[in-house]
Amino acid sequence: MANEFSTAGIKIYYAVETTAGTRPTTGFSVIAGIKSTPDFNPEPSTLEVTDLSDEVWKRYIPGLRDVGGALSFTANLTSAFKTAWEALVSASETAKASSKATWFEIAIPNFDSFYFAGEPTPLGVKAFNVDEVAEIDAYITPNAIEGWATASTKS
Amino acid sequence: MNLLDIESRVFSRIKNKCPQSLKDKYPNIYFTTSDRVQTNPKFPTVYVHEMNPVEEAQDLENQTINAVISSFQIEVTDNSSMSNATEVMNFVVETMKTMRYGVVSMPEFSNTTSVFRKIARFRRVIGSGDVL
Repeated sequence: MANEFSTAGIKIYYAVETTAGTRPTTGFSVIAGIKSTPDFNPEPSTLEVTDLSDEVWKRYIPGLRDVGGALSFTANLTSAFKTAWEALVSASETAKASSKATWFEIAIPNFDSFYFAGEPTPLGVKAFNVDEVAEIDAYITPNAIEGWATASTKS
Repeated sequence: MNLLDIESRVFSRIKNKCPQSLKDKYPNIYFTTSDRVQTNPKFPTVYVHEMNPVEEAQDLENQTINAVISSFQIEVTDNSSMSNATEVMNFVVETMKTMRYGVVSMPEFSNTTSVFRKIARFRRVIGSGDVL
């Protein structure tokens, strides 16, 4: 068997910087109940660099990648999730006052993690429909995307 | 709430909510979750059957059952008239609505001269934090 894996068991963690400008490697807290994560794999813009010496093919170089602004994480609307998110927002605001960022980790079991820093937005309320499980979209505005790195140390 | 054992809660609610007027009119009214035929059947009989629930609202961690789609089939059988079965079924529907179940279909059956049957199915999403 190859080492493919499913999405089951993926968790979202957060931690605020203890040293401004340095991503934490420990002390991450889980945000339970997340059902879907946003796409962190946008295609890069392409910058054309064709010059007069090119006779057949145009040439390009990759430009910037854009995740599109605020990122949406969908979760079941529970008191546990609401409490966890409020704690996250509070911790993030406190850290921001000290010029420290809040980092997020998308942790895949037995695999590397994906890291980014951002600012969480307080929860609103999503549209409700008949006979559905109540959900909520929670938003994080990214301001630094680091990418893949070794999973953080969990206590 | 144990989302995989809702039948006993629903059964108890229906049995306990049965109004005295219905008990007076039908002194032999019988509530059951068993599909076994009794030696001496009583009528009208209200058979409450929970169909297999389907998991809903899974999260990425997938270690808890957060919600299920709960479905019930309830049959009212009487040996004297269709109107009796209908009257009892109306009570059942009202009770299921107090638990916020939606009526999704009512299969039709051909009645015989001695068996009159009303069947209804109910469905709703129940989350682990819901209270019936």
